[in-house]
Amino acid sequence: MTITVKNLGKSYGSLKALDIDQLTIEPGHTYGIVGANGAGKTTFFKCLTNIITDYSGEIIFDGHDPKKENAILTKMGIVLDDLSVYKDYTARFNIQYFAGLRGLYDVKKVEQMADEIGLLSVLDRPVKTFSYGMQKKLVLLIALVNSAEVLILDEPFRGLDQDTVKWFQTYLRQWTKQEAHTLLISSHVQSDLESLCETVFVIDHGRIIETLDLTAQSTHAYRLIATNNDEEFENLLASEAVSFVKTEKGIKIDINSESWKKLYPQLAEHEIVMTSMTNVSILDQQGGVA
Amino acid sequence: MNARLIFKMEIFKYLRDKYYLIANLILLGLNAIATIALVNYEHLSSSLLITSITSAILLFVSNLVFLGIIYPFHLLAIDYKNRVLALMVASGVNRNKLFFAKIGAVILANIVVSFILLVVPIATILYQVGNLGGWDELFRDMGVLLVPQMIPLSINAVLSYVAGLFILMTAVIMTQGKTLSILLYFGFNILVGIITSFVNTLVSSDYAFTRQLNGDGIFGSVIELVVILVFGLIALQQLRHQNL
Repeated sequence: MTITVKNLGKSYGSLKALDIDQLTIEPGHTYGIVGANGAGKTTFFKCLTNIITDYSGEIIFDGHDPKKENAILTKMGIVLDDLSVYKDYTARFNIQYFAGLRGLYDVKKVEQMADEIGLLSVLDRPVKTFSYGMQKKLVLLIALVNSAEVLILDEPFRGLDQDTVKWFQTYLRQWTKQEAHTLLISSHVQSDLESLCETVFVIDHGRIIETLDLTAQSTHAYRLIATNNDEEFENLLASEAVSFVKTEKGIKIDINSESWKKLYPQLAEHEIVMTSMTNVSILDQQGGVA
Repeated sequence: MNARLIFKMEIFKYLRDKYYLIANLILLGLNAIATIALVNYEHLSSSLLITSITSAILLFVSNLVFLGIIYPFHLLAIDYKNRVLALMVASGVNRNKLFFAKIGAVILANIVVSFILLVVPIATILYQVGNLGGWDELFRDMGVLLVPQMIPLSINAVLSYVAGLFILMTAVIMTQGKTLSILLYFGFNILVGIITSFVNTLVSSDYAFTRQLNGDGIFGSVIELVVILVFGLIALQQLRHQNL
C-alpha cells in the first residue's frame, strides 16, 4: 500500500503541529520517524489513521482518502502510546472485540502470540488489573493479530520488558521481510530504528527536515577519532581526500569501510596513535533522537 | 467492515457487561418480589400493603431512572470513558456506520432490558387486576382510553423513548462521554420542550387541524420524528469530525 501525504497541516490553536509538504511511504519498506518530544510524530500518526480529522492537505492510501473511505484502514495495525482498551473487560474480550470488528478472530493465533509475549495466563483477567506494560502488550497483540499490511507503531517498545522487546523486534524483522509489508515506527531508542528501518524521517516542529537512508549508512560510517597528533592526522586525511570536520571531541571523518581499511595501516606509518574512536550514527549526526 | 459486524460486536459487548448485567439482575429480582407482593395484595396486612406499595413506587422510579438515563448513558459513553474510539477508528471502523450501529444496538438493548424489567411485571399486575373485573371495566374505571386508541399513543411513547436516546447520544458525543453530558441532556430536553410548546401553541390556533392531529397522536409522533432527525444529524456531524 502506497501512502502519499501532500501539504499536510495541523495546528493546535496558534501552534503549528504539522507542516509536511510531500511524503511518500512505499509498500514493502520500513520507515522510522525521529524527533524530539512535541515534534509532531504522534500527531502525524493520528492524522494517518483518521483519529485526527481536522487536518489540512491530503493523505491518500492507494488512491483512497481514509476520511471518506476508511475501510482502507482495516489493512493497518496501530500502536500509539495513548491508545486504550475496555478496562472492565478481559484481555481476551478486547482481542476478540477488535478482531471481530474486522471479521477476523483466530483463537489459535491469538493464544500462540499471547503465549510468546507472556499474556496467555492473564487473557481472562480484566484489563484494569494489568500494569502499564501488560496493557501495552495487549494493544500490541491487537495490532499484530489482525494480519495488517501496514504497521504504524509509536514508541512501541516503551514500557515493555526486555524479553518482549526482543521477541517483538524479531517478529518485526520477520514481518517486514514479507512482500508489501510496510512499517512506520517512531522510537527514542536509536538502535531500534537502526536495526529495523531502511529510511528515517527527521521531524522537527512538525516539518520533515531530513530524510536519511540507513541502508547507505551501513556501508558509510561516520567515525569520531581522537589521536596523539591531530595535525598529522589531518594532513593524512587531506592527502587521501577524506573529508573531515574538527570537533571538540576529535576529528569526525566521513568514510566507508573499504576506504577505512586502506587508511588504517597508514596511521602507524605516520606514527599516529588513536586514543579513541567512536562510530557515530547517522541519527546522532542529525541530533534527531531526543 | 460493515454496520452489521459493528452492531454484532456491540451486542457482544453488552452481553459481557458484567457489572450492568448484575445491576439488571438485581432490579429484576426486586421487581419480581414487588410484583408477587402486589399480585397477592389480599393476603397482606394493611401495614405491609402500604409498605409494599411505597416500595413498589420507589422501585418503579428507580427502574425509570435506570432505564431512562443510567443504562443508556453507560452504553453510549462506554467507548469514550474507556478511550477506545481512537483504536476503533484506526482499525477501520467507519464513523457513520458506527453511529447507526451503536444507536441501533443501544435501542435494542434498552427495549429488551425494559421489557424484562418493566413490561413483564406491569403486565402481570394488570392481568391480575384485570381478571378481577375484566379489561374493559379496568380501563373504564381508570378513565383511560380504550385499547384500540392506545396504539398511536404506544407508537408515540416508543418514538419519544427513541428521541430521548438520540438526545442523550448527542450530549454524550458532544462532551466525549463526560458525566456532564447528563446535564446537557436535561438542557436539550428543556429546549425541545420549549420549542414543542411554542409550535403547539402556533398550531393550536387552527382548532380543527390540531384536533385531527392530536386525536390520532400524529402531532406528537411528528414532533418526536423531527427531534430524532435533528439530534441524529447533529450527533452524526459531531462524530464525523471529532478528533479522538
